[in-house]
Amino acid sequence: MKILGAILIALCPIIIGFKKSNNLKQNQIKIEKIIELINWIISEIKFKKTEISSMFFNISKNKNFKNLEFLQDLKENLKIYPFPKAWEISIENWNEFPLEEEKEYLKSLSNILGATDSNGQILNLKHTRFQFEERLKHATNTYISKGKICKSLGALLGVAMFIVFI
Amino acid sequence: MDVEFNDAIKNLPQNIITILKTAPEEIKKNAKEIKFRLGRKIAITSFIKTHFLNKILLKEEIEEIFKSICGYSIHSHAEEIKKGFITLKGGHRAGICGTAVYENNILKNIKDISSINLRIARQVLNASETILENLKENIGNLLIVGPPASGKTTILKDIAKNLTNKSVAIIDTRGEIAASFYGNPQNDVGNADVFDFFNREDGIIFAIRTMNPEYIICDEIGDESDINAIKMCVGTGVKLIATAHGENIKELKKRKIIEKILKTNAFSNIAILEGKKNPCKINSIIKVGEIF
Repeated sequence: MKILGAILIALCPIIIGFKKSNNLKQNQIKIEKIIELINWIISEIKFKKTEISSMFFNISKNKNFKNLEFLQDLKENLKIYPFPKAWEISIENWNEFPLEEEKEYLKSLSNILGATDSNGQILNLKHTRFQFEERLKHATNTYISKGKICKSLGALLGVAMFIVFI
Repeated sequence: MDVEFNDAIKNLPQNIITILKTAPEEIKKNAKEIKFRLGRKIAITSFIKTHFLNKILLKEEIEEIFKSICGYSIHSHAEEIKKGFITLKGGHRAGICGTAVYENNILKNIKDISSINLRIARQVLNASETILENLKENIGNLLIVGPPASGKTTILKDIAKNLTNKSVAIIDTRGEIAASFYGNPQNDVGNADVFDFFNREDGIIFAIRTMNPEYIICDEIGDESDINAIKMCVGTGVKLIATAHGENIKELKKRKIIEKILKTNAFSNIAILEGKKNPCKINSIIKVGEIF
């Protein structure tokens, strides 16, 4: 019983450490997906001239972007609001992505998408993509440095607690 | 609430829809156009009179109306904007007015939109009835002549609708005949293949090469460049149904290009419309041989 209790207590910091590390990994993956999404939007605007609403209806069905949870919310919001408002609300409510600065970059797309001709939008989207590429480098470095530390510290603390409680 | 009016305004921002809904039922029922002008009141032009709503439009509101009409996707409508109008779902059209942007003498864009004219599409039933009754199987090789707003395009649409069992190609240079919205014709044009926004010459050549049509329908002929394409129709036996601007035969005869076109033998009959006061009404049908 004592051993079982000690194992359970030891598991807590291990799980927390791994979860924290996983969150950092998820942030990195989400930024990668945002860059992929921007590339997709650029090609849709450039080659198909697709209307923004129908573009996002199609994208929301694409399993490749399932990590971008806000797209599902956007699909529903587009039924109620015009695109700029629907986009902003969906980004604001995207709780699975905690990085505020990145969310602001993404939110600013509401003023870009559909607001000008193709060239104007592509130019602005490329700039936003560059910003996200920079953020991706930062997120990758954060994961490499902090992610591993979180895992190691969690595991170390767990083992230490197990020894203490045993 | 009038169905067509309701359908046309649903493309507008919500606050504008709310204002438009306050217009008297009689006006909405007979509305032809809704005009949004910067710094002026919203005007609804009906068959009875022009009704002004108590709402003066600000620059941001005009911009919002423009974006909303474009489905918040200006890039998707860039080509239409250059031509001065946007086709909406339901076949309604928004004409735009603003500042022209030229590059090397070519109109590239319209910026600072100052007025938007939303034309409500209303179906005119049996617009081509008289022509079809008169010409029966000889409906091909027909030129419909009339002044602006005399119903030429409406008759073309109705002819296309009535030629369901034939192979018909529509060369819709300005998107007015089929009013295609992302490739889907909003007007009932039967089983016609629509060459949307093709210029007439390219459209006719493409249609003959690709769709093997029995009839080709096109609007507003009268350019030098039309002659070769029309000759191609004659050469391949495709029957042409087209329209041309003109008040009457006398005026038509003065136009050298029309004379050249008629001499290609592409048309055997000319239908003259009564005019703006009696839209879609045929004044007379004349054999080309009788005048040229």
